[in-house]
Amino acid sequence: MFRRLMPMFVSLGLVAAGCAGSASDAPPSPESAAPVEFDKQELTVGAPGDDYEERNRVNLGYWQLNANICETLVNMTPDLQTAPGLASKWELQGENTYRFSLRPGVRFHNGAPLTAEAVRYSMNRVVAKRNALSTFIGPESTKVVDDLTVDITPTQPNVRLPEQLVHTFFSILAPETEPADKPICTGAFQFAEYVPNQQLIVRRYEDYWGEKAKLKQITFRFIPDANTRRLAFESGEIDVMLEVPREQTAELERRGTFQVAKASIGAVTLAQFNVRGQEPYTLLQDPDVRKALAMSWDAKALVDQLWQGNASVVKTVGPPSTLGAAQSLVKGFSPDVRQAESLLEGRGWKKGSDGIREKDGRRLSLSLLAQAGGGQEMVELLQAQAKRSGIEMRLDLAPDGSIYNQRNGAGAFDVDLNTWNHNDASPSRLLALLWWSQSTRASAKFTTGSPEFDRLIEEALTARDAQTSVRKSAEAMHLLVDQEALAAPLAGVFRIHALKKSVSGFQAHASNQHQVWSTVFLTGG
Amino acid sequence: MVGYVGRRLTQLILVLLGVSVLTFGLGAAAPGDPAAVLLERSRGEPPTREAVEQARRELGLDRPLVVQYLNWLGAASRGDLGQSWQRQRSVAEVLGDRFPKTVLLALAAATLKVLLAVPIGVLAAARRNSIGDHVARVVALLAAAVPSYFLAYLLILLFAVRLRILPAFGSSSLGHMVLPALTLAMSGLASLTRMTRSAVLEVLSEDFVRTATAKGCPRGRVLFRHALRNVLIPITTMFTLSLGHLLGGVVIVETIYAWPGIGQLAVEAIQLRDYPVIQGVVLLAGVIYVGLNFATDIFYGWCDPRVRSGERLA
Repeated sequence: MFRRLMPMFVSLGLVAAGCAGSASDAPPSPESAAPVEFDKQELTVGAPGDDYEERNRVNLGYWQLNANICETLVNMTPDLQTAPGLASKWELQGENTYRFSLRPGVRFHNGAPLTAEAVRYSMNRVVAKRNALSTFIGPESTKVVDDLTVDITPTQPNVRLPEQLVHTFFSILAPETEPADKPICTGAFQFAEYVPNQQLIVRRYEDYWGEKAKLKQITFRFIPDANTRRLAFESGEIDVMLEVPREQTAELERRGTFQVAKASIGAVTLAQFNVRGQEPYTLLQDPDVRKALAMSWDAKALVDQLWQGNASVVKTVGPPSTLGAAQSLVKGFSPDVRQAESLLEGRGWKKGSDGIREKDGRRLSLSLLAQAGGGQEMVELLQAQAKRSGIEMRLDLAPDGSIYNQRNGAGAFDVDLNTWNHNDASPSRLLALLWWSQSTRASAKFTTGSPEFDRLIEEALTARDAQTSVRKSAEAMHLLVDQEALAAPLAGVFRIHALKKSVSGFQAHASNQHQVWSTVFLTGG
Repeated sequence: MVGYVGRRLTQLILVLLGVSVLTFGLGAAAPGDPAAVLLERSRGEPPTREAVEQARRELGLDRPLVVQYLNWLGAASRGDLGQSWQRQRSVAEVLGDRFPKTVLLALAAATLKVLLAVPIGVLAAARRNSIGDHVARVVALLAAAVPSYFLAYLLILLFAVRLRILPAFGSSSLGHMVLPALTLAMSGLASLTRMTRSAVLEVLSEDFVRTATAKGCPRGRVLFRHALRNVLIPITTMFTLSLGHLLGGVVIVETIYAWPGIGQLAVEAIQLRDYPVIQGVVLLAGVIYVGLNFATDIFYGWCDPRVRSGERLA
């Protein structure tokens, strides 16, 4: 009889095991916090999927996953400001040339010294790989002055160059080396092994010019599925889980057996409006309709209900920290359905029988372009909130980045919902990329602002001191968001990682490209 | 037999040609510009129109579709599947990296499925309408009804998180293969169990089984020595068909367990519009599936002369 019922018991056991608490839920005892010898410490990090091969095998170990193998001339601090990196200082010479002074005594992992020639080699490689982004660095831009001095002159005026050079694309490589298979740089860790789609191993560089890393070795294991990454973390197979989904954060925090590290805001979810589109994407050419839409949305509800507070309401189109005190210039629109309705009524949009407004036989129905994986619940909440004011939002979900770019570039949207990372220290970066009339982005011609906005952006880009650049960026943002209502910032997003209690010295960086591992170490337990 | 093989081979080639036309045509008809995707992925930002046009010329995408297809077919027949547009390597090399992983997992899953389903099916047939028979069928149905991604998480939760006896992900050892193989095996368990049970029941009603029983042959021997041998042909058929399906790559399981097989590769290639890799994966899956069917047909014809003579008469 028991043998016959065995299969049933096994099934019930599976279900019960899934529901029961874990033996590892008990918190570690205080006595187990004794430090372990650094020489033996190895860390295993669960990273999202390996995209190195998909990105043409250009930037192994420093983009998008930064394993601290390579370094840039200029560093970006956790609050998105610049700091000396391999260049100890830089200064503007003339109108458009930056002179960088390199740190003496720095050596590459192969023993070769860091020289200006290495910088020239690295910048030329970036240009050859078409990764110069909006720095306007060209093939003849980088000139060696002496062993430790290098001049960079962009092909177009670009005073924001140092802020842009924090991007890991501009990592300094040992001359005549090709990081496609083995990056040789100056970082606190050196390349040890890479198995595509499985792992990347780095080991401490003993001759590092700065403070030596505490860990002897880090193994980055690629786990594309976030749920599996979480389970692997709970099973103890990995010590650090990168990119915890926001929906899972509160539950992890409640358990109390792990650490949850949150960075400052490094990305912003915002809605861009198509203001220069062709039919049928012309409804948002009316600024009152744009303002009404912005007032219909309650970003706080989004942050609290969907993400349990694991994001922040923002009014700026980039991380507020990039603007410092000047961020107070940007007010945004507070949620006000009554005011939204009043604006729409004033423009002749009357509510139809189904609650959606109409005017001259046309429904106030907007196309919302979003990428799959961007958060279906967020989209549904925004749709429901817009409907309160009588605005219908039809979701146009692009299944992948390619389709999204195609539709976006063709102006086939009314509202474009996306989350934008801030990967360099220039406060005007996103403004110039998304709304400047001179932007190379295909969709910019549909979203671009007024000549006044262009003027402010150009002043921000050409300001010789950082303070003026910040101020002009803030003014441009104020015009964009508050006056012309070309965009509606919704939420500031920060990176969330989970760590075992034994992991210490980890400071989450707002930008995943700039995460520092050299300060991390393990304590006992 | 030679004629039988010849006819099957002709059908195989025609089917493969059809597969190649379909995959090439579907890939070309898919939305999204592969040149734009390729540039954007390598640069991290959308490219200019001029850069896209130049890339299209370099990749031959500006030529007529028929020309592109014929060029590709000619090269493929020589074993050259072209260059991956994203990975800076030949398609053959890319497939060569991933396919062995899929083969390992597929063989393990298919074998596990047979090792579970056949004894359950045989015992269920032997104890027809008993509680054991009902439980066996319900358990097999449950395993099939539970979505594979849910089952995968459940197994990881039990064996990796709670019991800590198996790893949650990865592919570097045999131990890493247990959970993904088990997940895949469970999904096809019901159909193979039921098929085995039906086949055994049919054989058990044959005269030779009645004779063996009447002669005093032990029940176990009747089942596993006499009856089971007669159901091996349909079981082998199911085994090869499921193996063919598995060798095409199983995306969900490979993604959840971080098993770098060709299922994952196919999804990556589709998202990246890496046409040569898409075509390579589909062609490989088609060749395997058709090839295994072909092998099964030949095996059938060799085992059962009625199949060969039936073909000739037709």
